[in-house]
Amino acid sequence: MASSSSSSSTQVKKITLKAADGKHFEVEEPVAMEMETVKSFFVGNEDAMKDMVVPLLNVSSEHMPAILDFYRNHSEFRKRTPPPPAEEVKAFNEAFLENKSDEQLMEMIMAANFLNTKELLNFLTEAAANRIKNKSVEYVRAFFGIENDFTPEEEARIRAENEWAFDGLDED
Amino acid sequence: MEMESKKKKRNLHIPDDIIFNILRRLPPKSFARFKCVCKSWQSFANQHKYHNQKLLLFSSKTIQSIDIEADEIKAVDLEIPFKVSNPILQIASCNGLLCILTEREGFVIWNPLIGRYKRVSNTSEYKKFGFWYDHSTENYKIVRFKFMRFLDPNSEIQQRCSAEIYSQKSNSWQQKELLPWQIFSIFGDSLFGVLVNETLYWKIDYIHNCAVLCFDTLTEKFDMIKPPDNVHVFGLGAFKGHLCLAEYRKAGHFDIWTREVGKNQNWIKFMNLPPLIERKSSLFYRYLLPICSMKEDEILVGIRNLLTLLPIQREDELFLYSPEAQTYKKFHICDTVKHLIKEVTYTDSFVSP
Repeated sequence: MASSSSSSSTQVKKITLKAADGKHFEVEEPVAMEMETVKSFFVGNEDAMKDMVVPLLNVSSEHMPAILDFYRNHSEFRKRTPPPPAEEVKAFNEAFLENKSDEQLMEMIMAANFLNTKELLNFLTEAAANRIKNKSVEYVRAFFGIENDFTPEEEARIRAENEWAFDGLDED
Repeated sequence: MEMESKKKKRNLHIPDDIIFNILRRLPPKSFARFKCVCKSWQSFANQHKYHNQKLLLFSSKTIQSIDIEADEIKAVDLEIPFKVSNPILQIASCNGLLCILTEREGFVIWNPLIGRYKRVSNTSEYKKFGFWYDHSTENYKIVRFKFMRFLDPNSEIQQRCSAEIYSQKSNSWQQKELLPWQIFSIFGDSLFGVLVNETLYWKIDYIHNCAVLCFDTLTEKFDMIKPPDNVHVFGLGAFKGHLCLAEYRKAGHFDIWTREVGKNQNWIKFMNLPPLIERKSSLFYRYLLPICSMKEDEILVGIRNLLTLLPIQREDELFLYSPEAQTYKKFHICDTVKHLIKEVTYTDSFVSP
């Protein structure tokens, strides 16, 4: 996956990124610069580029290929004239999320947050919102690993106040 | 069982800012349901403000809602959960609440999102109102005007306009101030005060001149402001959070004025609306007002009647104005509302009436 679009030019500089579990990823410079966290590493320190390995403390190597694929495709979408049809972007995004568990989605959100890339973070948080919007309170607590800190009486009262919001839910 | 396995897997600690980034993308219904998840979600939801502006079109019997930021503009009938046996006269909107005045039955405060409503007693014929929400005390209030005639100690007949305020918290009306009787002659379509930046504005006929009555809802003080120099005939409205005053110029042109924010508060012109050709003949008694921004830089413009005292007899019409091309086209969606009385802009909230 990672090598398919990097073969377009031999002159493109590469930057080495090191995932949390130590695995290295060679990434074309423009793709790496989509990540603000990587970019800030080099600001005012251009010489560092040649042999620096950028550690990405919060990103597991499991998600790196997919995340890099997202940057490559979306930066290509942005550059293309005329802009790609909406269906093409939608198809890519849907394929991107396919077969991703809730756990994996949340890990990728954490990664996108650490890498400080608005586009990916917006996309993934929107996807998470879509996954939970028709779910029950119990499902959502499990989804985020949140403990209920209400007393049963408090919770019953809030439920009663918001009774209108509890019909038509999806099954957990 | 499935939940058990999820819990075991979960070892991520997700920071609050990420969680809230996800929550703010949820539709209001999910958002309200998830107040039950935990205390921090509840307080986040209670402080959350929706910014999606909606447009409500109402007739004497129906209310329709249009999400003006949606991809497809369509009108949805709002199901009114209370009985309206008499015609709806006016609707004011503030912070997700609608204040609906019906003939003879007084008004109902209703949050259409959460479906709750409350009737507010209203014993006599009050048609001039203002409705606002006091965020500091989480309390909504109504101000109404009543004409009073009484004998003073010298047995002279005195006339006054009594301003009375209703507060949700106290659930009662209290006389606030006795104003000159002429203030009672609020007219045109501004029976409900225009609410902009915590101030209510009404157009009034004061000693043979039109003026603007203001009520600062924070200090609960009345004041009077003059219209721009040499402007005698005008209409009031709100557009993009600014007070607007529409002045008929000539040949169907309207100048739209607003007040500067800050110390000076001078009137400044900020828009000109060219004539609506098809309506030219009848525009003498009518004026055009911008209502809200729509997609593709268009502006929704309404025709209002300057003279009619009874709003029920008026049929408003709405047009989409393109500032670039300086042309109008009919806002066809309002054709579905027969005998449209007026439109109000509205944003969702969870505030309970």
